[in-house]
Amino acid sequence: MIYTIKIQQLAQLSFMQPCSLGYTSISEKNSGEKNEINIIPTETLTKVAETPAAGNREIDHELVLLAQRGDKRAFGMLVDKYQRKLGRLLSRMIRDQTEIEDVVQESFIKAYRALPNFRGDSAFYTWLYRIGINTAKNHLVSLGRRPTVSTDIELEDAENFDSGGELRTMETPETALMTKEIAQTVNDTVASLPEELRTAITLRELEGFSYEEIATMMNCPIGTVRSRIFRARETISLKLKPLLDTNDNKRW
Amino acid sequence: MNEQISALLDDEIALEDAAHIINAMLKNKDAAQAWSQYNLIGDAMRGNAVLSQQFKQNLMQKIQIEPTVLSPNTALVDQISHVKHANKLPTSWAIAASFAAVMVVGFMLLNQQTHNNNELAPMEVAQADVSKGVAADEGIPTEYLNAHQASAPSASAYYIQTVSY
Repeated sequence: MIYTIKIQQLAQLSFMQPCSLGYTSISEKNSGEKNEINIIPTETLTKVAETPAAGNREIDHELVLLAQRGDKRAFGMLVDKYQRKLGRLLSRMIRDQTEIEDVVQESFIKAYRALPNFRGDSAFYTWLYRIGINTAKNHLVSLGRRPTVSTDIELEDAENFDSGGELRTMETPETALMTKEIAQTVNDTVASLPEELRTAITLRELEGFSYEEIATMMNCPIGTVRSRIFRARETISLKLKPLLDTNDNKRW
Repeated sequence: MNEQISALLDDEIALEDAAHIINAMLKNKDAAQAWSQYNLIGDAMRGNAVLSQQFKQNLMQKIQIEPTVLSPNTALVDQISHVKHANKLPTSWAIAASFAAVMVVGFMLLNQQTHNNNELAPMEVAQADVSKGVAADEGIPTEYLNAHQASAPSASAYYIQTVSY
């Protein structure tokens, strides 16, 4: 059971961030709707627990440090985390799927080469997105083209860009089919999850709420939220496994 | 393990634990696969799954042939260690702990000193009583005894000798 009153109160108090950095924000798109919610002074919100969590930035920096020490697998974990986000960002500048993949790949290689210069003054994804945007611009210049979709894409867009129609324009038949199959499997599995798992994973992945915020909304301990999100991911992962195991275990 | 990976993905884990899990993930293929799939699930839910299946594999093959980076940036090392220390305990706690330790040691020393003073007092009284008793018993005048004690060397000064080289 999700407590909508608590969501409204949290939103009004600006207690929660609508989404994590670098994530698509559905709530940001609908931010105008927040103003229409009436303030309902009901019971006091109870803070469930305090978890001293490492931020996105610190975890990325830990991975970067390992990569700087020669561990290429740590860089691979950063690729896992940011490849599709960077791809989606660059799809606003380049339409062709093959070109996007080439530019994303080149961006990661440039980032790897420049890794010794990364000092941690900015977040890793900001640094990576900057490299990606510059690589895309150079790519378009080398082809004698101007960006087709969005010429003025900048870092603030990089951090908070939202999903749009451009995504549909960049798919080849092969990737379109695979993307569709994966998206279908994920969505079907999410829809079939027990309500508490479905709510927890949706609030986390689509709205970007923290565990503490979700715990407050769902009126349960943070540990329960953590467990529900994990169980949801495990269930979806099991459903995806046959799909990902085809094509000789090539993972996305 | 996978539950911790799930929490790591959401940045809902302490930095010390995060470092531990990351190290475990780098050694464990299944854990690395879980990390990869959990990222894919999130991206698929948000409509981000737009790269081909072989993308990461191809990229990592190219990264493998790149010269290995072996230069941890000191600024980043300092930043991470600073965050780790900051996460451990606030500075005010350290100051309070130091102050409490000084207070305890000071109190113990003070207590010991007071205790010693209390023990010495009866000895001095007893010594005075004895000297009085001796003087009275042997018929030695008190003035003589006082003059004798005044001219006698004190306990420690008696053993100090000046030496010139």
